[in-house]
Amino acid sequence: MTLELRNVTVRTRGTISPVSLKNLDIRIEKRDRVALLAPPNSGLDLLVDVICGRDAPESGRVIRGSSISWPIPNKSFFHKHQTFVANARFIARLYEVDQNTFISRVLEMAELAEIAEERVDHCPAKAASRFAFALGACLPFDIYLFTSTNVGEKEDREKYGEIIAGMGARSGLLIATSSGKAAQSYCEKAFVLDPAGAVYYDDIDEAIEHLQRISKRAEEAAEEELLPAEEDRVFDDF
Amino acid sequence: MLEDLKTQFNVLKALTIHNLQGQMSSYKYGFAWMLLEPVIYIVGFRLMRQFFGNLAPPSGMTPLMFYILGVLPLYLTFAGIRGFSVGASQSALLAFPRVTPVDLTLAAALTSFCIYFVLFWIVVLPVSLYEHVWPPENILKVMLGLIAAWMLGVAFSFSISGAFRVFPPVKQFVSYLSFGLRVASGMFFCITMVPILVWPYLSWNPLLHVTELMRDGWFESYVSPIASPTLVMEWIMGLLLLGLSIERFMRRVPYL
Repeated sequence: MTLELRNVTVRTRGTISPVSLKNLDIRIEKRDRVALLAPPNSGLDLLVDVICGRDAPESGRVIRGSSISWPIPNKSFFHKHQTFVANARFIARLYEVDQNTFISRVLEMAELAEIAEERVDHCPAKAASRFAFALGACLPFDIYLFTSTNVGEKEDREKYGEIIAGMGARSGLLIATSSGKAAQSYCEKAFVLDPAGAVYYDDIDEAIEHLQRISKRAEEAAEEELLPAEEDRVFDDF
Repeated sequence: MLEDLKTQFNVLKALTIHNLQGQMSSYKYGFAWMLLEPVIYIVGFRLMRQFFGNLAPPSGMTPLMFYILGVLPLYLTFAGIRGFSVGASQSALLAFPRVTPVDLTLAAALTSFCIYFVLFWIVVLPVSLYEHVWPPENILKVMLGLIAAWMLGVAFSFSISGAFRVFPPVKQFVSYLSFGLRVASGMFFCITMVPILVWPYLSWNPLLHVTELMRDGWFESYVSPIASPTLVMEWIMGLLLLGLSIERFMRRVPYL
């Protein structure tokens, strides 16, 4: 029961500065709590798409031997003109679970009972964020895939943090993030997505150090790219 | 195996209902717009007949039903064809690991079938009663025509969605093709209204066979000299085989 990426290469397309991640070999067991760490805009979203099957890799294979969630808390599939209940019903149908039980669990976890029959676009974004989280958290998966662990308002963070930790105790967690803090809170292992390939760490702190190093390098490279453009502009103005 | 089939069925059901709920959500009057477009066509053809006598249907076929049986099956086909962009685009729903592009294309096709099937009977029932041509001579033939029209659209959409993914301007060619098919598929004529000389050329078009099947099945007085369910099935099978083969190849290709 694993999720495995064998020699996977992904590359962004249709962008001015393409990003590629090459020769990724990643294996995640059922109860692993693993972070995928990469600096911002370095192809992590693309890798998440490949993991959940939304996109195909340039080369290599993705083997899903376990049930894996969609990227939580993804909200892009919501029908915003519909109510929270109608959106939850769609997920219940899709994952073949009892609708009433699922909906009541989701509403309870997201604390939305009072506005359950309101249109999603008429409600605060934080409510939608809690709802998106609860939709995934109330379903049984072997591996939960997270793209953000910041759910709801600041005062809700502790509650949802405990829920994520609970999910990690009974199933696998895969947190794709650029934030070392989120990885440190929930994960015990990490893969750092270096341009040279995925580097595996047993020690999460070492992984975070590596992430900070490559993030700094990426920032410096971005600044260097910007500098000539600035000079050109001054020259053009002159 | 049965469990997998049940899951597949439930995924399609969930996606179809999701599509139906999202249909026309940006328009104030929702489904009213879906009804409006074919009705405008039917009324337009009916008015043209007032001015051009030679557009009159052969004896025994009532004018409004004649146009309805030409227009609505073609709408079903074109709605199916439009599904090509669904399969070719990177939908947000693909983030669910159990949803594949084939599921999305099939769900889009089922959505259009639900809409136009209901629309067909909503329009046909009162009009056929008004024109005294109810009930149809052979309702099975009419149903076969409707399902064949839909399946042709779905099969065609599978065939072109692969090309659309790697070469988006294909969309433009599809709109030219749709225009050509609208004109040549018996929307406002039946085969006995055109010179016998051109029958061999026109009868290559499977959509013309579909409209002929519909009119043959509905009117007692009309027996189509060309309608062939076998030819329509051959087209469907051929296009499906081609389309699904392309899809199988394209699922390994990253989106642009």
